[in-house]
Amino acid sequence: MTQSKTLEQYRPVLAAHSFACSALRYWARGLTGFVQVLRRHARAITALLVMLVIMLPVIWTIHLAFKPALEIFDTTLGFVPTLENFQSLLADGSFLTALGNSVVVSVLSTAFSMLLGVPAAYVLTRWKFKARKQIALWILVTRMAPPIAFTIPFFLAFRWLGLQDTLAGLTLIYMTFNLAIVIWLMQSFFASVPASLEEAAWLDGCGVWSGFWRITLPLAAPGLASTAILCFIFAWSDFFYALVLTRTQAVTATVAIVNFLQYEGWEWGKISAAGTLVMLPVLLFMVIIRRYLVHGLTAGGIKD
Amino acid sequence: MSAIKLQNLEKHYENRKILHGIDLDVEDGEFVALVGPSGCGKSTLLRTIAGLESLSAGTITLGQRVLNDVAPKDRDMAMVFQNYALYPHLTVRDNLGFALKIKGVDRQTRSAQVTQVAATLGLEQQLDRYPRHLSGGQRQRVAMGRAIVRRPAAFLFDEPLSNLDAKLRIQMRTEIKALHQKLRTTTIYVTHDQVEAMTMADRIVVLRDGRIEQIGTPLQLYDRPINAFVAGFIGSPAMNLIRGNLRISEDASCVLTEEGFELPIQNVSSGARQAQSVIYGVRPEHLRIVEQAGLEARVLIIEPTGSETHVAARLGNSDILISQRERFCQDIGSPIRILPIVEQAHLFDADTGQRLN
Amino acid sequence: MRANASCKPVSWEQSRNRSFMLGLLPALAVLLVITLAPAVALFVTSLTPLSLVNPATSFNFSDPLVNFRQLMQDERFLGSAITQCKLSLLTVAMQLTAGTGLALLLNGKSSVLQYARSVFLIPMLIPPVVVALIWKIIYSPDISPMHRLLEFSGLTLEALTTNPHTALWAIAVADTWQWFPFTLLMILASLHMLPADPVEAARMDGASRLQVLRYIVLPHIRPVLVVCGLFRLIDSFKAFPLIYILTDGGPGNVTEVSNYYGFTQAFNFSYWGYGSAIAVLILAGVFILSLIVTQFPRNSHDPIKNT
Repeated sequence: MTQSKTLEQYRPVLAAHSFACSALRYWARGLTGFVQVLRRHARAITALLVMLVIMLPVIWTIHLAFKPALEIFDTTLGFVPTLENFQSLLADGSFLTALGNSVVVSVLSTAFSMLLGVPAAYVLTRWKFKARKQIALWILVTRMAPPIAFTIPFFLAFRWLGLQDTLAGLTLIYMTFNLAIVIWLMQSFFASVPASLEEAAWLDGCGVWSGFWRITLPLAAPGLASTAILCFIFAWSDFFYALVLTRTQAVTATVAIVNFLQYEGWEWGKISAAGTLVMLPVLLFMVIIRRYLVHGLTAGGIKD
Repeated sequence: MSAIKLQNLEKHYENRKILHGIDLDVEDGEFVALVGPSGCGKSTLLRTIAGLESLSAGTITLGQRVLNDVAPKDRDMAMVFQNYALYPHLTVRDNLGFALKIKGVDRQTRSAQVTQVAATLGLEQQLDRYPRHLSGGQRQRVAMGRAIVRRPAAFLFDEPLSNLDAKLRIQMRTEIKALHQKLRTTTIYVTHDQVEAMTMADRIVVLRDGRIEQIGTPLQLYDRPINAFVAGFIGSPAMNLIRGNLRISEDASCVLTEEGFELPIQNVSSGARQAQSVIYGVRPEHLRIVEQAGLEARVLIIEPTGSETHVAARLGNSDILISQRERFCQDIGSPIRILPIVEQAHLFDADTGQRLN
Repeated sequence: MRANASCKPVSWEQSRNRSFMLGLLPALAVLLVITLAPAVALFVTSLTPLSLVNPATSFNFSDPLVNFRQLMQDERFLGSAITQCKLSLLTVAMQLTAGTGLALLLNGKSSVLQYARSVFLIPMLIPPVVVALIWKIIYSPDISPMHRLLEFSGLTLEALTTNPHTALWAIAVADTWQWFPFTLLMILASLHMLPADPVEAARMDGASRLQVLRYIVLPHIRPVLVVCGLFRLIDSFKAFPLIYILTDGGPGNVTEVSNYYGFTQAFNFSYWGYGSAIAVLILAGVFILSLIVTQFPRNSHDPIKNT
């Protein structure tokens, strides 16, 4: 019986073959399944990859801040994080003073800008008077003007007024852009409060500013918060004005960092630590009020 | 005394005249409705009375006081806005008590008045909620409550029911009317819905393009509209308006349409001329479908509403509407014979729109 | 209310306008002092050959246009203007492309994308001087991850910021990294307002994704793109920290833009008059661009268009 013998011979081969086929089938199904998963989440995966690439510079700098100074130039990725860079940074106190100066100037200029700018923004939203267009253009140009246009006259004026290298002087010049920003942003927030609410308040017995205080302002509160934070961030981040108008007393954090570049040689650890510290408030705010930041940064730029 | 008097009120806005010489006397406790098509200036007029808009000429008087230069908060008027204008960040309780708080009323009195008003409007359960959690009808009630709590000399309503669905609108209509009968406060009510005006008002003011067309009680406006515009505006479904030429004769004047139909008319005024170009007006409910005589028309559409049946028909070159209580059993396209009730026919000049009978 | 025959009572509208004026005036007064006054002073100074060396010349108006004449012949200034144009156009083009591309990528509903959208804002929010530091690190071969990676794979790359051919590109890349989130934000917001109906209709008509993009999405975001571009263009004139920290205008004058040139003239050499003249020219450019910006309808609550 040659036939059955031949069949007997091939049985294991056939068995192996069918096994291989089904294994392949399962594997292929799994693979297409995997590919399908990839496809469905392609967007998210790409986004994450791009995010990693874009955030790399930031992450690298922060990691350098925590790397021991001796290992800075090592090519090994593993290291024991240490705070020694921060410690040596804050040791002599000058950077700490600079940080303090930044806080004071940012808070003060934000406070004054809000105090003056919020009522002005309200008036510009509700009052339709003749010079409205011109004033709006003026405010826009103020916001857009290159800092050098203001620094030269301010520098000369400060020398004459004795405001050189003072926190008061710095606060004053920060108002140029902060006031414009407050007016610009708060206008869009106030515009989103329906005028009929204020009219109802007027009928209910409020005067103009009483109605503003009781009705409009509470409803624009998120706008107030985001504008204030934005002002703080802009003041905190300023470099040019501080560079030109301060020497030693009123040096802010942003200028202090640069001094490290020039005086401390190339202590990358310290520089990274300084950079991380200056970045910190901004990143913190971002986490807290992300939603409002987005509105604040785009208000006035998008068609509603 | 809270009678409101408008004398020769005019309003300009950027070289455009919005209100032309408005004269109106609203009696103490009266409910007056301002109606008109959109853009006629009724809301502007209301806001001018409230003080939210300034007037260019004329006087507004409340009782003995001239209100021309008075701030809105001192006019002793309360307004209910179209979109309610409830303060979103305050509870219902605080919304109702807001005006009292501004005035400096102490907490106890305030609380008592707020509770009382809330009870009147059935809002006791909502007092501690926020406007965004309320339904449309509830919000409307809070808006009214806010006005009531101030016990003003006059209520001003700016199309308060237009944002509600039909059923709620009818319900609120009755509530507002009942409130007015209870409080007897002078009320000026703006609406574009003439049915609302008809059912609620003591008197109606019809406005068009910033001018008053007619002032009268609802039935006055219904029975004797002063011109073709008012005739077509008041009444739902609208009056049929057919063009033609007037043929005056001793016993049987009529209006001759271009197709040769003779529409009977009576009591033609002396100012009318023979062969004058006119508009014949007759309401759908005043057209009878008859077996013999009458004018021949063809049925176009049948609309049974349950209580009435509307029949749209073609009379020569014009489309007309007939409205009757009885059910209509004929088919679309079938011929019918129509006869207008002469006593209820209206005649208007074709050019000026003025009434001629 | 007061029926006094002799004095006309103040109308509600008048007293309201007075209240408004009271609220606006303080801000306007301060703005006047800190913006218009310096602007005038700047203009005046630009008409004099004022310099620290020669303080007596502070009111020397004998030859008012001397600075401007000199500027027109100053090769370095003209070169800086060209560099400015090159840099501005480069960065704006790159920012718009990157921002739009990423906006299209991130325009979706998943929470991962939402989280990513927040993270992508970071470059714009970091203080510019810190951005400059970060990129200084990236461009310093000793400690840069980029150079290390390239070394790892066998390619060597010399420092980009000291090579006159690549210095401007290096700054452009850093600037794009810093500012693309602005475009990203604006385009994302615009995409959110893209009505779904035309897209669905197009899909039903058989349009491919690319066709939908080209014929529906892009036309919709075009106005926002233009405004964005203009905003970024105006802002690009202010570019400073990157240049200051990465290249200091060099190598040579390759990365010296007008703003930077003005800075060195005024604050390194104290040629106040000359520096002012440069600033005046830049300001004029910004003013013209701002005027153009106001012509574009952007926002129904736009304070300019709503008059």
